[in-house]
Amino acid sequence: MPTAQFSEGLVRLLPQMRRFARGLTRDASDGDDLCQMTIERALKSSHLWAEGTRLDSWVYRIMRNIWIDEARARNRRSQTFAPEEDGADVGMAGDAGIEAHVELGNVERAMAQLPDEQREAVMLVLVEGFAYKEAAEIIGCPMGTLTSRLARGREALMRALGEVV
Amino acid sequence: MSVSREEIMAYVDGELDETARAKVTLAALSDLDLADAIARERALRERLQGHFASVAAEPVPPAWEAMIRAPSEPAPVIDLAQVRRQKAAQAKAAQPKVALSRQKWFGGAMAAALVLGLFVGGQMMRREGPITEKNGALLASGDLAKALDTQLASAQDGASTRMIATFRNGDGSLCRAFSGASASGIACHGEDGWRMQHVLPGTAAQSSAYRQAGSADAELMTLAQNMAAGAPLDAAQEKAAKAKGWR
Repeated sequence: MPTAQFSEGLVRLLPQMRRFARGLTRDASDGDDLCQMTIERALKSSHLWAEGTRLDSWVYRIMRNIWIDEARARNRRSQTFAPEEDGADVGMAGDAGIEAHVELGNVERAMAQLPDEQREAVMLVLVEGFAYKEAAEIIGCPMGTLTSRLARGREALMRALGEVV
Repeated sequence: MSVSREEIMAYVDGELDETARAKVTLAALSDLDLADAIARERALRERLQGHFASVAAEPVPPAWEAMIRAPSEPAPVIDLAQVRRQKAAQAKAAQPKVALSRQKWFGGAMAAALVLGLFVGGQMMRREGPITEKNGALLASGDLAKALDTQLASAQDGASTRMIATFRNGDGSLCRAFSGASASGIACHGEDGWRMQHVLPGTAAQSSAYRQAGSADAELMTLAQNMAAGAPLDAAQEKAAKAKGWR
């Protein structure tokens, strides 16, 4: 049985867990599936969480491990499941709603182009705000590996978003 | 530039110690390229955060919270005083909808734990009572299992156990709320049969001193609403679910 502290902590983490899941999977419904699987796994292994340690790092580690297994299984199943990006809005700039949509699309597209391990590093440090050491622990890699993935991910994002001359 | 790319990154990410940080800040004052690089890194960080902020702001599916707060097995400790305190607190806090139903839910779980004690002590241990224990799970058995398998809420005149509602929970499993003479409750269909999620006093026990809630049916409906993902099944859907073996 999860303790009350565990349950309450987990409920509080839900919005940011969902954000991280969306970043990893690049898809709203895949992200929610991943989030739900993570909750189930976390509840089942709640006895393994040491009270007093960070629940967020613990849960994020579970989530990325599930995602890695899932992504591997998907790659085995098929490589051809890349939906065509909609280009319908191109050339219709000027309307604020459409601009917002395009901006959303830009960041999404730029993130989607990153290799998984760079996107994961970018999500953990730049979006979720983990320190390098914490992020490296969640991924289970040396800090040097994390920072070099982060650096490459950042460069690629800047190129894609047109922020590097 | 007098500062490396890695240092710029670490500077923007707040990873530099006081001294190193001061060094970069100072250098940026006289190095326009460096100041520019820092600004671009900051802008990227903000842009990503802004993009993902909308995801974190979306309301979380209520089923997730229910899943976390729902105990997977009935609480083993039975404390009547605590139940009474909880009831009193409930009566006092009649404010927001969500909080109220959650409190009711906890009240229900406590009442279920209490009633469970009665069953374990008596009826349940006899052969083929309504509930048996298997590998730590409470399963419906005997007539109750049969009623859950076969009886439709839309057609049950004269049956000793009534089906009150059929619905899917957050996992997608089919669950049924039932009311009978010896036990009422909610059972969800799994691989090993109907797993009891909640056990409440049956109609015959409702005058007993152990009864905690008002009407057992109302209590059941509250529990069901908290567990359900979506609306209960209508008569046709229920029939179809039965035909598919409640999967």
